[in-house]
Amino acid sequence: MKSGFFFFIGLLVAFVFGWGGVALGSHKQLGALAPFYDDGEGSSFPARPQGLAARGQLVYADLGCASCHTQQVRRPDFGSDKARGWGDRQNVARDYIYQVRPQLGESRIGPDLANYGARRPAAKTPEAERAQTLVAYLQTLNTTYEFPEARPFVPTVAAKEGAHK
Amino acid sequence: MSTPANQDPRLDQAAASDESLLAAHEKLLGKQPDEKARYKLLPLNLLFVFSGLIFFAGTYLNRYSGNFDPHIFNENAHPTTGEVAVAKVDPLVLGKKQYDAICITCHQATGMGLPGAFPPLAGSEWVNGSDERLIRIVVYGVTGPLTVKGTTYAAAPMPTVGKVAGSAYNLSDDKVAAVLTYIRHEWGNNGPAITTEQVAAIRGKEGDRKPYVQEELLKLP
Repeated sequence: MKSGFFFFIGLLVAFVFGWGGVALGSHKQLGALAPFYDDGEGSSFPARPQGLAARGQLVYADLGCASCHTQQVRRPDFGSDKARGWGDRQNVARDYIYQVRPQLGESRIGPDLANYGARRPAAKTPEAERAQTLVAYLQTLNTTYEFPEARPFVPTVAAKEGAHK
Repeated sequence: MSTPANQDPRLDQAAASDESLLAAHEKLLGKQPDEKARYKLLPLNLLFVFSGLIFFAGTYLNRYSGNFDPHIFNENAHPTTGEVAVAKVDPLVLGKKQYDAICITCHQATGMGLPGAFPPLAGSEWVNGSDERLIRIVVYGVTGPLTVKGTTYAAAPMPTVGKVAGSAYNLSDDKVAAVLTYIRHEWGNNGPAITTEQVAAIRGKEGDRKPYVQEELLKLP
């Protein structure tokens, strides 16, 4: 090796370039996402998980629920998620900004849980503390609020008939 | 004069052998080419193939990447092929929400108000009467006594609710229109709905002013 110094510099540049693309580029694209204040509802969404629900998410992660349950609903014209009653609108990046570890999920052996809080029937839960916190968390899983970027897209009649612009 | 220190016979010999010297000279003189380098040039058609692939990739990204915008989640949602469906807000739902948040404390959930203190809205001639008066009552508020259904109410002023100076609520025009539409459809009232444009027109015409008194309201059409 001719010069250890230049080799180190080259190594550093390669690493910084890769890190810049993956970390800085992603942050530039998604880092400025802010909660959306819904005038009609009078509050901003998404809401921060609080108290028991925040602990419930740790229980969820600990039990490995993400191996079989996803928490991301596809938009209506892409897949059958809406037909299965899993959610009326797609999940967008803004839904997860207050989750430290978004439990996006690995596979759908069980139903998607992104909107579980809205369709969960009231039922008795076990007395165990972990069960109570987990249930509190599941009840906060709710995407019934609206985001502008998640609204369904309606192709106009002209486009459907193949006209140009 | 004794024996020399270096007796190695190789020191007296030439560095290169005669044959190699002659060959080197011949090469220079005859300009023999060097041995061919052992690599091949890039085939030219590969250049065209990769240019074509890059062109396809660029066109695809231009059409389907959504400018890498963090708010675009549908690659088929091209601005020229359609529009985003905006859910229409039902004015009665919105109006009821505003009423429950602001008006219900005085005018009550039954719309009957409090006898002697707050006038009723059910069957009120002000609610079912002229749009001009009704909008101004809510947007600008009323001070002084007001006669509703024969009874005079002077206990508390009607607060300024619209988006004007002195308002504690600053309801936007569409929320004012919604709540007025709501009270016109509730408790047996049956009046025409109030539109956002009407409220905006009156707010634009009157600007900022102090709350109305009954005489001024009665002067309006």
